[in-house]
Amino acid sequence: MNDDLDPVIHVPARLRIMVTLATLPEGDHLSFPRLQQLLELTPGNLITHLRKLQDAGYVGSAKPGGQSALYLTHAGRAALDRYTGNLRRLLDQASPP
Amino acid sequence: MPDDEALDPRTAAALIEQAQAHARDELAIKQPRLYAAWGAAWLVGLGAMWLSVRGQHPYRDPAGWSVAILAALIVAAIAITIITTSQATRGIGGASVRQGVMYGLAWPAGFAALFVIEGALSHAGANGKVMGVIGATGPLLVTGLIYVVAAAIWLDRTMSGFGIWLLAVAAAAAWAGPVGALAVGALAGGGGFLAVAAYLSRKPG
Repeated sequence: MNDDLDPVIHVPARLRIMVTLATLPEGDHLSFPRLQQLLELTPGNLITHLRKLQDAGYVGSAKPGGQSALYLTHAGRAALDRYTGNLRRLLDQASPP
Repeated sequence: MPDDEALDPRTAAALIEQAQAHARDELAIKQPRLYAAWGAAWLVGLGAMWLSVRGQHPYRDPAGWSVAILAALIVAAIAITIITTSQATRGIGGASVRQGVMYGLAWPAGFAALFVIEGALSHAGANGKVMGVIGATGPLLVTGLIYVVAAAIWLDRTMSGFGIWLLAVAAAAAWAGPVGALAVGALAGGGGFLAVAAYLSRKPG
């Protein structure tokens, strides 16, 4: 049933990371500490999930002023759109009007 | 919350909504608080100045204590603006920050120019009445113009409408004379800020 849902995103922590970064306008980035505070994850946990998202090309990182900052890449935004679209379809199928 | 397990679609959908609402709430500048701070400053500050001049026949000047009240309230409103803005935008970098800095610059630049012009008018021989009119309406004009233009940056209809309102208030207040201008500025200007604060805090989203 979950075949259509991107496994890179379909995990609570990574879904929350993607959705949080997607609320920023394109061209903006969010510092690691602020992202961690918004998501209430431990630094180690956040790093692990960020690495998976970065490996998939969904999240990019910049180092303005030496502090690492994260943003959603074009591929990341597209993947999240696809994910939410598929999710909606699955939910519509599960509960027909 | 188990952060490493797979999800069923319904939980995922709820999680998206939650995370979105939380991030938007945390990262958005609390506009009603800003409008309320500035509304209180203009309403009480200009109101105090009006109280100090309304019995003057002929018109002289707003009393020093009333100018001090306005100045103190403006300093407080500036502090609230800086704290509220930096709380929301802490950790955010990139294009929107550069936009915000350029926008922020409009305030000190606009008001510095206004005060220099007021000094020049006085120097050129403008009497107390003229100075009273420009003193009460100049800030409304500068603020209104900045709001109208800033609304275009963030596509903010409320800000656009309110900026136009302030420009109309500035123009109308100027015709009310130095005493009336303070009353119009306090009620329609300061009161307008408070009305927008109330409207925005009721509006969902």
